[in-house]
Amino acid sequence: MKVIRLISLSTFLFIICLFENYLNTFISLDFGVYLFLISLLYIGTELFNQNFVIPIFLTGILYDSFFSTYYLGLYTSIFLVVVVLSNFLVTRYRRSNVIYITTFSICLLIYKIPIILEFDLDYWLTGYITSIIVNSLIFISLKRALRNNV
Amino acid sequence: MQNTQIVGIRKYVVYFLFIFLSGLLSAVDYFSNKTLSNFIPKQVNLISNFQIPDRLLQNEFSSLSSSRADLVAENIRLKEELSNLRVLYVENQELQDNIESYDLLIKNISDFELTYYATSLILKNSTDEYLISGGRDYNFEPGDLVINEKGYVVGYLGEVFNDYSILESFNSTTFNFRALDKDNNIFEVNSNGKELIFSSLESTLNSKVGMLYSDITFGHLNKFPLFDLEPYEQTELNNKITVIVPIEEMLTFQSKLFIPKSK
Repeated sequence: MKVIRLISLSTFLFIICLFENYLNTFISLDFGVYLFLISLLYIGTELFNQNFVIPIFLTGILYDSFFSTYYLGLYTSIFLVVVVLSNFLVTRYRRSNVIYITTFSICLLIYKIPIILEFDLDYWLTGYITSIIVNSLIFISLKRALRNNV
Repeated sequence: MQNTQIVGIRKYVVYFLFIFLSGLLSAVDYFSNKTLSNFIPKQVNLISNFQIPDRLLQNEFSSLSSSRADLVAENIRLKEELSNLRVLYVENQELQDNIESYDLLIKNISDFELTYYATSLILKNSTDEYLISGGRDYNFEPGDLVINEKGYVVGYLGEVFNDYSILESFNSTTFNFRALDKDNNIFEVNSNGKELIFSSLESTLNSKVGMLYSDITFGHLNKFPLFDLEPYEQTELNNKITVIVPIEEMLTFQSKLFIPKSK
């Protein structure tokens, strides 16, 4: 049962990751909709526990193997760091929209670190700021919607 | 108080262990020249496995309710026929698109000794690299040029897997290309994501730079046009020319791409 849950969770996360990439291939504007990052943040802030480590690890390994030209394990560690950092920030400070947006900004920086290190500030800054606004809105709305449903 | 702090740190221990494991994998992959990261893609045909089965497209499930009245049977038969026709229509459209793009390509290329494999965009990854269809199944190799229907180079293959490849396009983080102009001056082409930077490597230039081409001296298969630099401002310093060209065209799902290979 535990194995099935792990496999289904990993598959679900990988599908979200795939969907995010597909979505951003369609969007030709200077921002991205990072559904997978939002999911990681949701896991980090709301559902954090050790059962998520292996699914996130497996998703990262699959992403690194199939869709990335970087070394195996790079995106895996990025995904795990995002979850740990988001949980750390939200538990350490008061839960408010400002903290969520700050957390999202820092996590997006980490998420996009391969691009940030390779390219100049003027390449990614506008897209980064727009992405923060768009994705934070999605994240906060999603949190409210899920809380209301519960 | 102390206890809650320990609990706070302890809950991250497993995560830190897995982050360490990921780092270890990266280190092994780095020292093994990417053997580890290529292991899974070499075993699996990812893109072929994601194709929608024909029976789903043909809506076979509708035939379950066809047993009694002829009218119902006929209705279902017609529905099936309609869905078949829709599948054929989509196929027909794709083939027409292919013919059109091949027509355009034929008008724009001069070398018919090569085989031009049509490829298409699958998705863009987090580092703005494009995944395109076709890989080892078509004998593609890293470094193979990718051209559009006008015959212009749009990038080269960075990595090749079983049935897909990663295209290093103009806005890729690691784009690096060498080209020649008509006077055989060598230019190095790099990208900062929004602009292409063309820099001449020799200091013998005395005229304005025009069209740049790929060349067999750089391991390219043939001479394909890359960029016409004539309309752009060319700055000269120590007899070396630098031209900065903004990247305007992005690849889309409608982009027609070809990979030339020798027969």
